[in-house]
Amino acid sequence: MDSQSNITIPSLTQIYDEDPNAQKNRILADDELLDLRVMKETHIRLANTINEEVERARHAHEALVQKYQEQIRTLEATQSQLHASKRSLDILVAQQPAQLAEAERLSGLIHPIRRLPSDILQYLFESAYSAKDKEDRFFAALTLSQVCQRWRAIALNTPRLWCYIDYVFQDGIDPESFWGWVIPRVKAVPAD
Amino acid sequence: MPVLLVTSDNEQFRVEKVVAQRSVLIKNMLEDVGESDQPIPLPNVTAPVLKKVLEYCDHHQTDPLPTGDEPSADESRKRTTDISEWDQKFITVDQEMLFEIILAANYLDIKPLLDVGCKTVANMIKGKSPEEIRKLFNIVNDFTPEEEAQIKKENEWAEDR
Repeated sequence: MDSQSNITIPSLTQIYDEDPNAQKNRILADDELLDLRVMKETHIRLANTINEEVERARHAHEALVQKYQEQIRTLEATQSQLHASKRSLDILVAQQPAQLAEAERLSGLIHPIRRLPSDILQYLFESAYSAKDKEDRFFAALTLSQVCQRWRAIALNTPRLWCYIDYVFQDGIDPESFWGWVIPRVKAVPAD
Repeated sequence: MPVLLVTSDNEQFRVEKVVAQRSVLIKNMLEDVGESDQPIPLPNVTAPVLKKVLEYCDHHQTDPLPTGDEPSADESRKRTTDISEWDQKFITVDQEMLFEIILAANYLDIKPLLDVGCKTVANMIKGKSPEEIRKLFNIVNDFTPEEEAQIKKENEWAEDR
């Protein structure tokens, strides 16, 4: 607001138009001389006032330039922070799946099912097997043997899981290879 | 006469003998040491798990004890996944606690509780594919390519069922 001036400057054209001495070399009368001196003083005062206003406007402008430059610097600093923050965010986002995978791997390692002794796991398999209808038991046992190496070793060495087979051979299934796989599983347990 | 049990995390539980004796392990220990007020250490069981196990033993304190020399009774227990309403409610716990109960029941030799635990897990895996079972228990598929090929061959038997 400081930069805005409220002073009114008279138009020079208007002054010259009203001046009866303009473009003339006549000798002025005393009262005219007095008036013109007053007028000259007025112009000097106006020029000084304008000068002060110019100084005020210049200071205001310089202050604005400085403020603008500070804001540009702040903006540049914020932009730099923004880029750094985006980089950190990208790194974190990229790391998240690896951390989740590691957490999942660890939760697998600490899962209490790993601590079940083999005989309990065997007992558990027999419970799961017995819970099935007879015609589904072979496939239930097959499922248990296909979970992981430990489960497979236990399932394949639990004859009771393989002693009841209700199976209809479809086209393309070789009975010899089927029985060749099943019979060693059954071992000494009499079939139901 | 109450019995004092001490867990692996050093918490003491004073329980009635009839309740403690649901555990064949504790029953045998009590029979071996005779009348004694000595605390019985249970180094394989933590306090939260023993608390749960004792809740089961307390509820079932009047049930007939399995004799241990009846394989057919074992079989008939396994043949059904039916669990009584109370046991069902009792065993509704998170997976961690469920397996801890199974381990404790095995260590303390409480067959009916081991059965309830195993049947619950059996019910959880019922009808699930190997992949779904792995996901359920955080099990890693560690089969070699040769084993995978063999499994693929076995799965051909299950096609068009």
